[in-house]
Amino acid sequence: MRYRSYIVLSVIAALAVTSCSFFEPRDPEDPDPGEAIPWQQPYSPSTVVVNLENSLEGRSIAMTMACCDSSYMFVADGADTTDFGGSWNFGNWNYQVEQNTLMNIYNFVSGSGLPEDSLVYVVMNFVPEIPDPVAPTDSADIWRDYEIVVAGSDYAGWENSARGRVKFLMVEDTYGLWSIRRWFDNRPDGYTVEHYTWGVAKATFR
Amino acid sequence: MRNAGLILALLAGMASAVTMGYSIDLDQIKDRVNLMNSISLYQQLTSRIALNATASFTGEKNSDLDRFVDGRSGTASLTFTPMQGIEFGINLSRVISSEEKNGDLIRDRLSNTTSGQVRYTPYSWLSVNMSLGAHFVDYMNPSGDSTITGYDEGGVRNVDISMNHTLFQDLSGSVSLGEHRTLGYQKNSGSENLSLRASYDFPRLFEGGSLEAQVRASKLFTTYNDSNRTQRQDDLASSLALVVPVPFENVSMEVSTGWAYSNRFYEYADPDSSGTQGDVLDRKERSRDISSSLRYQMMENLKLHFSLSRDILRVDQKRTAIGESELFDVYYIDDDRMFSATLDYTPGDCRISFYRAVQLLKRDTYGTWTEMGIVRTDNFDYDQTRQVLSLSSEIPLSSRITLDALIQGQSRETIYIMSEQSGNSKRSSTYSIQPGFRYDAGGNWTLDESVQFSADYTTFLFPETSTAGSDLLFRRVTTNSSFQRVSPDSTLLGISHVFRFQDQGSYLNSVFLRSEEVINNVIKFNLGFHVSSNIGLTPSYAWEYQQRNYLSQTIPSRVEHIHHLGLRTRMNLHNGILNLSLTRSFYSRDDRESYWKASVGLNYQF
Repeated sequence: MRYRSYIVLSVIAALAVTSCSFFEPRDPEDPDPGEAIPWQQPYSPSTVVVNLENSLEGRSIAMTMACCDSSYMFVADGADTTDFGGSWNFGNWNYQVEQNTLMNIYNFVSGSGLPEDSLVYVVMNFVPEIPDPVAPTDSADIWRDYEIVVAGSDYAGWENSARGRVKFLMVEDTYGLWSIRRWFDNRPDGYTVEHYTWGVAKATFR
Repeated sequence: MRNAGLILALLAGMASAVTMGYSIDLDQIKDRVNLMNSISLYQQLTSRIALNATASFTGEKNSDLDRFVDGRSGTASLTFTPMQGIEFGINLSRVISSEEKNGDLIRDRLSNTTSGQVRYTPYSWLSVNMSLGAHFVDYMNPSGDSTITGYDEGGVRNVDISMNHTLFQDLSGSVSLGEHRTLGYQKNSGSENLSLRASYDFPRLFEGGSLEAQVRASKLFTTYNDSNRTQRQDDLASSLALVVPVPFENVSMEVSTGWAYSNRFYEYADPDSSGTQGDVLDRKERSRDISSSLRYQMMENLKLHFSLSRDILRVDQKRTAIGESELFDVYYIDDDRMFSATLDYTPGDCRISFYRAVQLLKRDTYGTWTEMGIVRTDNFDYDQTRQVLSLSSEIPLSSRITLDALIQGQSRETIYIMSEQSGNSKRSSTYSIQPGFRYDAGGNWTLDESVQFSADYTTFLFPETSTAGSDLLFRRVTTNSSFQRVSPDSTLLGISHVFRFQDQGSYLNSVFLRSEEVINNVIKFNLGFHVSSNIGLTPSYAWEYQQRNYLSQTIPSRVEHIHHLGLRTRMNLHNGILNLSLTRSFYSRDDRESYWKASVGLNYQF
């Protein structure tokens, strides 16, 4: 009887503390019509890539960073860090740095005066010789050939889009949701200086 | 010849016991191979002279990226102790690193450091360590058709002082301070740090209570002689922890609080318009935290643990704006609140745990900037909540059978506050139940069986604007079965089976429209046996079946059959341990390449 009283009191105390307004989230504003960005629950690695494309094109910092794990790191191509390391910083490119850099990019294109749908353009194509794993568990390597445009930028404009090959290291959390832990950036086959990589294009905004 | 003979005789006379250690780790996963190799040596040459040396080699080869990174390092030190409390030493270190990409060397770096060292320990509570020396750096970075080479050299000096003393009964304190400098023609870097700590155990009247206070400060800098920019960082932190004197019998309580400040900024020797307003890499972080926890042993087998914490972090940074030459100050504040409660009930050999946790993370952005005459502000303020409620149990039904069960409910909510983002605000709930049992069949044979059912239901707060459409449902069933004998050296004999099924789709008006399903099935045979009393080998074969069906699209299903052949062993050698695990995986499809997954580890003390 004494046991039961203790247990019931403890459970009630725990529930009472957690039901107070101290842990209550705020009410959101009504959404702007036409502002919503396509988003799917990332139950597979390939869905994360689709979400990333939509978030970058929609210039949503919250959505883009929601594609990334909190221990996210961007690893630039070694040749890029050698060629451009004197001009820009490629080191310690973590979640916070990525967020700040993307904020600068989104802010930059917003003021370019171009049509809304031409500001950021992203295409991530499958690499035929390295197909996605069919049913991965825990983690997966996902390869894509990308083309990214940041309108008006020096290294990823419409006339010289950023091109490269990315290897995403994706991880699955305990809820079955996938996110990007590493972005390994690589120069594409047949690299020419007419098209820089996304790492170089981004580093100019860091 | 005579001199050489004398030297050999002297060395032979000096030769005493040498302690050597060697370790090698080799890992391969698909196209990435990692090798770590190190050797260490220690020899007490005479009663006053000792020799210490280490060498290591690391290499990473990535075939799919056509990259090879290698690093080599070696250190050696000779110490001389003329009398107790004083030690003189000579230290040498050499570090080499390089990277190859597509067959070309893209980075190469060599660094040497030589220093003399004095360690003075006049009392057991005081230690002074000083070193003075020189370093040399040589680097080569091919860039396009040209090669950039360079070198740097200069002095190295380090001073560290530490004191650790009991001042009075129940009151002790420690102080440590240090100064480090690495100077050169091209770059100077250095740091200073100071740390103070005091702890006090309350007198008998307040038995069980204690107070600990700590203050830390440090400064870092890096200056470049060919640039007028200096990178600096100032860090300050303090913490206070109180263990409350036992308020009631079987109750313990702790309260702690902390404060930290970190400022990374760039200084300019000749400030210009950009130099006076800072740099986009400037960061100023201020954080405060407070936490408390309470443990109550209610009865012999009933224990309660509450904890409550709050962290507030403010991050100040600068940002650019199009068409503007000036930098703008912006910042965000994270407010992280967390509560958890655990109730453990352990009657006999049973264990029943109730766990409840709730967390709220609020992020608010502040600051504005002007762009083309328009005042702008960040729009990614959000609130994230996470709630967990779980009940786990482990109940032995008999000496051989144990039941396990876990029932858990989790809720996660992400609310984007601003209208630009709020359309994607969503709430996800995950429910899972995982019953299982373990049967000890005797002779190290165990039968394990568990099944987990889980469902994740996601609703959007503004479904009319959400492009994800209707509510989403994700379901998963995972079963784990095994009947195996595990030897003390991890040699395995038996069979195991893992089956996973998951599907997902939209859930609207109680109608579940499935869009995708995944099946994953692995059956593994472990055929472990012993070659001798201390060498066990475990060959294994596993068949993995993967299938992904795209139910709402016309894409054909994808099926994969993978065969894994493995060999695993763990050998206890006289003074070392050898671990080996090899797996070769083959796809049934011709267009997928087979791959290795291997790890070898050897640790040996000679």
